[in-house]
Amino acid sequence: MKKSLDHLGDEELLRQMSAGDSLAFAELYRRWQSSVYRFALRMSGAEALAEDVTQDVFLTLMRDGGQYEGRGTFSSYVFTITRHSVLRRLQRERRFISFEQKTDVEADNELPFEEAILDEDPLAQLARNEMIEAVRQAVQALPLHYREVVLLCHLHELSYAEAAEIIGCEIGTVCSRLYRARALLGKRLAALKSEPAPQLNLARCSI
Amino acid sequence: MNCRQFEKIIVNLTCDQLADAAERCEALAHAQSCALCGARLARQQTVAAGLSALATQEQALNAPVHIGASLMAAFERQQTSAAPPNVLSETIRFRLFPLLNWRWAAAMAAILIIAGLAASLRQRPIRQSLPIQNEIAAEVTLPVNQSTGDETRPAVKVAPKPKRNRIAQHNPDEYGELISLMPIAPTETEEFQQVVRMQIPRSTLRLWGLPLNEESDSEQIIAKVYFSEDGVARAIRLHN
Repeated sequence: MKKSLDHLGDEELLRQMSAGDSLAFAELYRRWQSSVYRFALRMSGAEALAEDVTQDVFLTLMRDGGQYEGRGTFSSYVFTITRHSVLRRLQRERRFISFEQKTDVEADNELPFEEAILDEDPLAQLARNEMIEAVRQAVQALPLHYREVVLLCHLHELSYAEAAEIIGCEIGTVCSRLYRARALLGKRLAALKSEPAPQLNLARCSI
Repeated sequence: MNCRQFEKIIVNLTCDQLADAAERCEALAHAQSCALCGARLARQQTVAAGLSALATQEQALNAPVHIGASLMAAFERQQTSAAPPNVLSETIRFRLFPLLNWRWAAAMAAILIIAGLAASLRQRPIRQSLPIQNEIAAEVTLPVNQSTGDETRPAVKVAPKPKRNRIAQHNPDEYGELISLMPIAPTETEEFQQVVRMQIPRSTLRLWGLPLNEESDSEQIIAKVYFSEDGVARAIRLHN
């Protein structure tokens, strides 16, 4: 009978994994592979690098997981390893993703984003996907030190304290970076919306 | 509330993290009365909604399946062989160590063997078998000093030119057929500078490009490795 590990915490799974339990490793991988891969992917913008980082992280857990002392949360521990791996590989491969910077436009031109999200119409769904893609590109275009706080605090829903622990800075630094990052995102999204070519023209499509 | 105060709380306001209800009402009232702050708030709400939608959509994003399979295989191997976890599948190993191909492995092995030879020749007579250790123990067929026959002195100090070993000198029954480690297969009569008997894990053979069953990677095997003058492993014979 296959034993269930759902009820076990991450720390306990790590302990069992370090003792050689392959089921514990499989469960830990199931729980964390998505977060690790997504964070690495959005930090680097490269799938191959994200795959390598995912391997690195779990190999590190295999090798050094027994040394985890329980200081801080387990998510901080995993994201710290992931972040170090990403930065090391980015530095090695010099594969920083650069995006063309757009000019700022007046905020008055903005369309309410929520309107498209709430609408279940297929065209609205298409517009929603385009907008999500625009947000994704805008996040990717942020400078690395802004991008990481946005990913940690908004996409992975970590607390400011956890993000500060992962990055190795003060909580105030996280807050200020987050504020500036959101301001940059706002400008970037406003600029994207003002571009006529990639926008979905609902009026034309409905004819 | 003025614009400066509004700017300080705008992030918390858009994230619904403003605990004080009165402050929230005051901030919203200011946003309605001030066009600039109203635009700022609308922009931040756009960002918050966009990030939320992005987070929701990306929840379903997973690492490719083959990564999980490779890691599980590596974990299993680590447990069975009690080796450090850098004994990985082919994919992982060559990603982590792109230069670790069979040429590098052969060169490293040659360097280790020559260093071991030099050390042993200082203390041991020729044709003395080295005890087999766990991994890199080797019994080395040293060059024979025929001019003096003096086995107490190191051959490298006496013999001006050592005699080369021939494959034919070895008993063919104990070892299997000659397997080339080079693009051009060596002949039976080809001369080699050194023949080294080694006890190695089967996984080492993979580094030399020999096809193997992954399940037997951790097994130890005895083989004779034939080195050319330049220290490169040219061929190998596996013990039957």
